[in-house]
Amino acid sequence: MIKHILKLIWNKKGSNALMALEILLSFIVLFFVLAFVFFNFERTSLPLGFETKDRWIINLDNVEHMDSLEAVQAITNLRQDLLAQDEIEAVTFTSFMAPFRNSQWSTQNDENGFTFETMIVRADADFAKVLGSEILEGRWFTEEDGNRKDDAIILNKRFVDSYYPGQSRVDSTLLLDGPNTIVGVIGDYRYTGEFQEARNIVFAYRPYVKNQSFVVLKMKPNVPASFEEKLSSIVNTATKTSGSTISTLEKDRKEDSSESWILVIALLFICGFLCLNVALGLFGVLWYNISKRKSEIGLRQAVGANGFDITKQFIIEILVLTFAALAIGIFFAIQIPILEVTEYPNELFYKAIIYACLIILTLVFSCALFPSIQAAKITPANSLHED
Amino acid sequence: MFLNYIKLAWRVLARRKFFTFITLFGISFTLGILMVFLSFLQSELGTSAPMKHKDDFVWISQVQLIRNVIDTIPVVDSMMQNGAMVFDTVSYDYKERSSGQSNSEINCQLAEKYLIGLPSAEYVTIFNSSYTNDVFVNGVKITINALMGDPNYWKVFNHKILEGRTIDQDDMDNAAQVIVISTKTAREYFGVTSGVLDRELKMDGKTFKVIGLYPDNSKIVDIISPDAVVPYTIYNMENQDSYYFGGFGAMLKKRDGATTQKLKEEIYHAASTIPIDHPDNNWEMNEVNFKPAATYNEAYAQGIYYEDKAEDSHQIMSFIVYGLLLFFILLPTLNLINLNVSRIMDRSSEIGVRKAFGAHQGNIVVQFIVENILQTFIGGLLGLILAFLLISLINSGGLLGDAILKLNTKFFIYSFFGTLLFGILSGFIPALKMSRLQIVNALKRK
Amino acid sequence: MIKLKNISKVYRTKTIETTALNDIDLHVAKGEFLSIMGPSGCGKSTLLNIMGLLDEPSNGSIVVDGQSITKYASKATAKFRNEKLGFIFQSFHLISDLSVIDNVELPLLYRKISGKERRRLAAEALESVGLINRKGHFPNQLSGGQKQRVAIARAIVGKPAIILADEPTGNLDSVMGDEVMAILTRLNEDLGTTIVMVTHDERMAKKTHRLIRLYDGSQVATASLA
Repeated sequence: MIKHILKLIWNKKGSNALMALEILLSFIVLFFVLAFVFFNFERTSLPLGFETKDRWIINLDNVEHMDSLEAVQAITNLRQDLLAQDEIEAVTFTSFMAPFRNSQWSTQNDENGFTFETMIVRADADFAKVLGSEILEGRWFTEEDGNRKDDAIILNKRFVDSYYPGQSRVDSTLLLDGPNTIVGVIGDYRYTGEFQEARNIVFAYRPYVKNQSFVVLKMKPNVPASFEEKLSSIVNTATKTSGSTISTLEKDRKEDSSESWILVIALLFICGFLCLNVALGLFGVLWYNISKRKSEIGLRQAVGANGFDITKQFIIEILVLTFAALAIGIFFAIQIPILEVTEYPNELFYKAIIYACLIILTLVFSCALFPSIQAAKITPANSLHED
Repeated sequence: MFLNYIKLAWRVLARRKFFTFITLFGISFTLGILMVFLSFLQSELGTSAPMKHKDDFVWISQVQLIRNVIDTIPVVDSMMQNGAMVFDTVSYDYKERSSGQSNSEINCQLAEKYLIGLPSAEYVTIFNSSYTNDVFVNGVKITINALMGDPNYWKVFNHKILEGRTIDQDDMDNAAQVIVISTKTAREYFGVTSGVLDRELKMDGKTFKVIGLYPDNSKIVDIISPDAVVPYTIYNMENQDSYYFGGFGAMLKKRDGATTQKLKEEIYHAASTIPIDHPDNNWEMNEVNFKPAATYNEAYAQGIYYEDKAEDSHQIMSFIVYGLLLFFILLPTLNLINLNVSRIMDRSSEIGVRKAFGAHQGNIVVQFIVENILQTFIGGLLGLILAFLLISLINSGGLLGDAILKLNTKFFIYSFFGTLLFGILSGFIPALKMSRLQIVNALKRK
Repeated sequence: MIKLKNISKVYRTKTIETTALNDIDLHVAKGEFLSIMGPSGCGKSTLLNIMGLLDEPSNGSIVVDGQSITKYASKATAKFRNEKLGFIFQSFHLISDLSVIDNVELPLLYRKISGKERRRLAAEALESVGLINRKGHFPNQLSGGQKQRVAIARAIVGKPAIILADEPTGNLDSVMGDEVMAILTRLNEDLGTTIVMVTHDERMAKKTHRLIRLYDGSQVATASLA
């Protein structure tokens, strides 16, 4: 029977090619959209690695333009004033690599043949406490780390997993701009946002007075937004300008992810529409094809096909066509993970291929079902009638 | 004749309700979504006010210091002689490569000195778009993304002025604490959207006098739609990072008859005259350049793709946008072609009769294309309604932040031609196929 | 072989009731070659369809090859048609997208027969209608007579006991018609296949054993010819 259907399809290759092309195109669109969507979902499912609730952030203005002694004084005063507030639990000063800021500082290092790539984040002793970092091994920095001869550094888990899988590196040395001692390992710090990729990070200790770009505050629960005004005046006094801006990490997080969400939703919406469109089209085409082949159906019944045979034949016909189109689509799609065209994980593309195939097959099957069942109901006496 | 075609087309559509529905659904959604996309592109890369003449501008946002080093590569020519390698000659190849670079926004005085007065430029505006301040009104925080600009800013971005005036040269010379605000700022700060002239606005420890009011614009880029504009001479120039770097950018309008390419070359030339041996160059850089020196669209693309050259980024962006569009249109078109091809068979006896009574191939093609275009235009009209609904949904839901999507005449013209193209594309292949049917065969089929 | 008793067929629409067959009693003996004649619209095709279990009578009973038929749209009936009956139509009804031999094979597809065996049987059937050299052609490459011979090959490939032919020569010129008729006659004589043929052509009808005439759905005459 399959052979018979293959012959039927092959002998009608002209009009079937168009239909197969449409299925192929739908597959390709679905494949890319799904890959993109899975990719984003996968990222959002990773932990951010820091808390956003009740965390406020101040973008400091002017301090970096002061001369260095004055800046140190300003930061010291600011810290004291902030900690004196009942509403504030803890304070950390950071460089440009602050939560939901897009600044990046990455380096590729090659010391004695050991090559690694990492981002570098400078942090003070209170960083982990304020941002709620998960310390997996060792400890966070303390102010005594400023007195060491070498520099204290902390790695994120991804760094350890990439270069020292299964090993404990605490208290060992990493060469990066001179020797550094690894004092701890933390979970993660995906500060560029929920939709950004997880990367290797090396935290390097720097006393808070030298981190003059951002301040992150851990607030007591339920501090009202009106506290911002008071906070603002404290900051303005210390920094001798009013150009500093305050925001909450919760708000920044929402703003940061909403753009990506809109894109994902818009793509899914458009893709859903395309699928619906293709499904309706297929339905129409199949419907027409079947009405065109009425006499064939009548004949088949006359020579002994029963209703189920007819339904089966039409469904198999379209499914075979679909498989052919999908095979071509998969051939192209699978090149992406095989040739490792992108740096993204291969599983993502395999998953997208599988899901795209499933969606298309379901779609085609459900579109073919109704017309095929109708086809079986055609009575031979009518369809073979001579006029 | 033409009217006849339309009449006929209408009857065909009315007779086959189910297929008309499928077809119209496909067309209207395709065109509707396309229109929303188009509207989005327009608001991002818009040509409407305040960006009316955007293609006449060259935009510079950064100055770039580059350290070029010359690598010496010895090239040894060797040859085989009696089975052994023998050295012949040694030559040297010199290759220049960049071993480091530093990019940042431009120092104000540097921009004034080297970007004002270029022969191909009609005028220049210099601005700092990151004058962002939190102000508090009755305990409520307002973030004002203000821009420090000059009088030419209003020539480049023709915001409508609702009240008062813009910044003039006197304001610049006196570093006057005056401010032109948007209706958004007026609403948030004063609680009104008119009658704000001469009122005082406290920001950054200064008291500004409001001298003008302009309407909000779809907010895409800070420099196009700031919340307020003040003269840049109030800026404490000491706060700039170095002789090269500060917080400023510039936009140059090309003179009539000049090309943006010419203007870009003049900008590059001006950059090459900037002294490189200033003490602030403490990284041994040996080349200075202005970046990206690009038109608005190129700069926009540059903000997404970070290629070395803005033109390349723009190419990538165009490629992606057109590619997406193509893919998006291709599928519904194919779908429609498929449907149409199927329908022809249904109508083959009609075609046979027409041909038997004297219609030639061209008549049949025209008939079918007219049918298809009529169908597409009904779909297009529905699509327009859909687009309108979607756009108001997007705008009211604030889905794109402060961005406001609009429908305008240009947009209608694009949509019209897009629809026409779609109709012809999806009708042509089936029409051709149909017209080629042999009369005898066509009549024989039932 | 075929026993029709009190067969009536009435088509009802909202406004009109049309009687296509009125109380037909008919017995077709095994090995008989029967022809049915009558003017257009007299119900002969309907009668043939009922005999072929393609259509359901409004009234009456039908027994084919000893089997009483009650359900028409059932699997069992489909199987019965497949094994016992062969059809030939005026307009051939060949599937244009299948080659000649694939068309002939068609009835066997709905039986449990290996592909190789199907090929062999189809080739044999084509051989017997003298078209084996055309097996790879497509229907639109054949003349009308050739098409009808392919249709006959298709009808006999399953070795049915009964062949039902609806104006098999109606679309053919006299030479081709005679050829087709000769094949049918040979089939009847050599293999003893029971044949019921609807025709317009007196000349063809005269070559059969018995002729019945229908007029407005009723049997008006029977003539034994052989």
